[in-house]
Amino acid sequence: MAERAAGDRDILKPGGSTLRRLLDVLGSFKLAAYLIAILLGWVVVGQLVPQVDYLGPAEAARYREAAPALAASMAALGLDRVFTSWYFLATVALLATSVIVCTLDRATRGEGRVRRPFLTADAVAKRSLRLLDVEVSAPEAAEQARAVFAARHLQVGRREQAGALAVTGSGGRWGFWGSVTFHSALIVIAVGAVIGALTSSRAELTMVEGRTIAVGPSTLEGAVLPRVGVGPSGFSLAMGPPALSYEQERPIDVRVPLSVVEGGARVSGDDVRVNYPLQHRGTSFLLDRMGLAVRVRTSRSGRAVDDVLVTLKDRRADGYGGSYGLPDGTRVRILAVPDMRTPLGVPMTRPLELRDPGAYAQIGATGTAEVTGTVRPVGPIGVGETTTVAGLEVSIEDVRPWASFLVRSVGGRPILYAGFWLAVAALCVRFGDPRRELMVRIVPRGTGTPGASAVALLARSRYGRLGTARAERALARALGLDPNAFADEVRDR
Amino acid sequence: MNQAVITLFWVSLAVYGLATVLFVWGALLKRERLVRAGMWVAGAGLVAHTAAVALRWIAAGRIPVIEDYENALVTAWATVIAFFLLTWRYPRLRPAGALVMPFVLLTLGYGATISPAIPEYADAYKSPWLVTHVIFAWMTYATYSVAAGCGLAEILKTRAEKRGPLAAGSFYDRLPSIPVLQDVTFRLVVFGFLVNAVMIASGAIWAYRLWGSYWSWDPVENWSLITWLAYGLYLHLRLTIGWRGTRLAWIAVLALVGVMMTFWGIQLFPTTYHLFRQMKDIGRVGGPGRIPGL
Repeated sequence: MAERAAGDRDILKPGGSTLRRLLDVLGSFKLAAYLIAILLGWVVVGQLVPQVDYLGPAEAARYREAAPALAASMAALGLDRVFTSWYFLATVALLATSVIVCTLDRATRGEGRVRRPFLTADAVAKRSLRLLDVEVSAPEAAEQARAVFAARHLQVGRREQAGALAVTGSGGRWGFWGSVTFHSALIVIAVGAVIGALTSSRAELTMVEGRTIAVGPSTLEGAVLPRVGVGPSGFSLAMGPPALSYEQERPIDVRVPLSVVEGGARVSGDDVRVNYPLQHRGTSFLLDRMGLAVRVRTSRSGRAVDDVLVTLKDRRADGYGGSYGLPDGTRVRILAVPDMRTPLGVPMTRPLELRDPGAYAQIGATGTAEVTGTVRPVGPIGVGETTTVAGLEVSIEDVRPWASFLVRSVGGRPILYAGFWLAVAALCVRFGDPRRELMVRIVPRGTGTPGASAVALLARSRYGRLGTARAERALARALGLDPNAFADEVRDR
Repeated sequence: MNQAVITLFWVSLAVYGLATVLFVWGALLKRERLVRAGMWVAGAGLVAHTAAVALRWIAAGRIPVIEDYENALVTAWATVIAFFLLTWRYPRLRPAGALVMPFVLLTLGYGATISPAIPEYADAYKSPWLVTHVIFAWMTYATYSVAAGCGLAEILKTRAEKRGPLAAGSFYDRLPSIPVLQDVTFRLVVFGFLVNAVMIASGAIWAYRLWGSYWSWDPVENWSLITWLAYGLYLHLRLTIGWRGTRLAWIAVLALVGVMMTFWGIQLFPTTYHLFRQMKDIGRVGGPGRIPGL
């Protein structure tokens, strides 16, 4: 945040209008400090009060049950959803506005005015600088100082003051623009976040190997549509056979090939892995989970009742389960479990693998009756066998892997990322080129010591002594002095 | 091999404990010799600690960036390295070990409460963004910790000076001058602020690629942001307002609370995506919800 220097003419805020006073307050450092403190307060509240958005429905219900009075009062105050509350978002928005005003203020006031020289003739004249004798003439000393400053990429100036020479070196121009760029990057991030909030959509998509699904509202589950624009649509996705690598019966690498189909032709595709989503038209498809899907044909007395694809999403101790309902109210449960028998018939325990050659499917039904039976599958996980359950003939027609994807579309993401890295790069520039000024005062010693002079150094840097220490040491060496000769010199930061 | 890691972990913990005693004792009794001995002992601890980190890397077959045990191990190591680098450049800062080493001890002590078993290298962890995020997190932690140590040294030295002139060769006299302490603290905060920014940016990118949201207002993210803003406040107070002295040093010290909350305190609260024990299940083959498993 910029601190206003007395006497600065303000380009951003002409006149003494209400607008000027408002902008003055908005761009003030004090306001930013208060807002950060308030933000901290909200974060602490968000930490202490259970936040239902993070608890999830089941945990949130348990919390409400365990402490109904507390939960009700927190909900009434809106403190159980601090991070989506209007007061939290208003604080963030106000802080972003403060940064914007401050940055515009700083940039429009321009480098020249912000960067008035630290070391003015008056300031130097007030100092009683300790003069160190050197064995070079005044012009030579001045030339050495100029060379040292130039070698350090400092802007060199030279003037005469009351019979003495003064050579100045100043730097930090890039640092200033680094600061402006950094604050601008924060604005870019804020803009990206706002665009993202308005245009983002989220949903889930479950796909089965070998199938093609048109992406759109009818196929996306739990879709939260964007406030502006439409969600992902206008293309289809096809899922190929997943590749799984196992190590000690655990999958160590899972890749799901997804192809994007538009107008009946494949336009792009990728092997989707965790951390490596498929990107298409600004929408990301992130692999979330996988499992088995079973195509089940159900008939009664030889007459087909149903033909469904059941995704086995319920995790059980010994496998995965799923269910489907029939028109008469009967619910058929499918449970895929591993074959627990070794070739010698010895029972064993192991997890079910996706391509498990020895898996069983257990089938049960609830509703009008409950009976369980088992089907011994053939092939990879058992296809083509039939069993009778509660008067129903249930056949496993097909078993395929399914995969579920998080579908995310965040409009401002490229802007955000650009803002992130711009901020990092700007910080490097900001602190890599600190504002610093050095002034060497050179007094000729006319009599007794021909060719000699005396020098004094005044240095100033907002970064303290470290900002100018290297230049000081180089200058001392160039003048034939001890490298630390100026170390204890008067300096003004 | 992991047994050797566990042994070396405890050895370094014990040796750092001894170094802490020497540093603190040296600070209280104002004995330079004890501080020097503390440096040697801490150096021995660092050798064992480095070996532990290296062996863990070999045993796990990947950079040790996963879960709390590895993070405590490597974060403490990075802090000791930062301390040694600083005292190599500014030998008079050695007494700051009395402030930095207890911190290292606490960090390792936290690690000692966690199971040292090598966690499964789940898909969620296989991302270069995670490695970037965690490496910069170590650097952030180490830098801010040492900056707080220097800030506290400045506060103590300023108080000692207020009580009267420092005796030549006394403990506080041997500390670097106040301006140097201020400059070193400032430089460390600048560096910490930069690496903290990279940590947040890389973490946001990783989060998006992992669970589809670059910023979830998750408690860890909030504390991380607050910490970054607090150090940003420090920088503005120094560079824009022109603050100097102990009140600025206090901010460097107090802002460390935010660092602690981000790294460790957050584990006390259940509502965060950053509990690593949940992450390893993302993308697994099988069951329902966001956290399926095989």
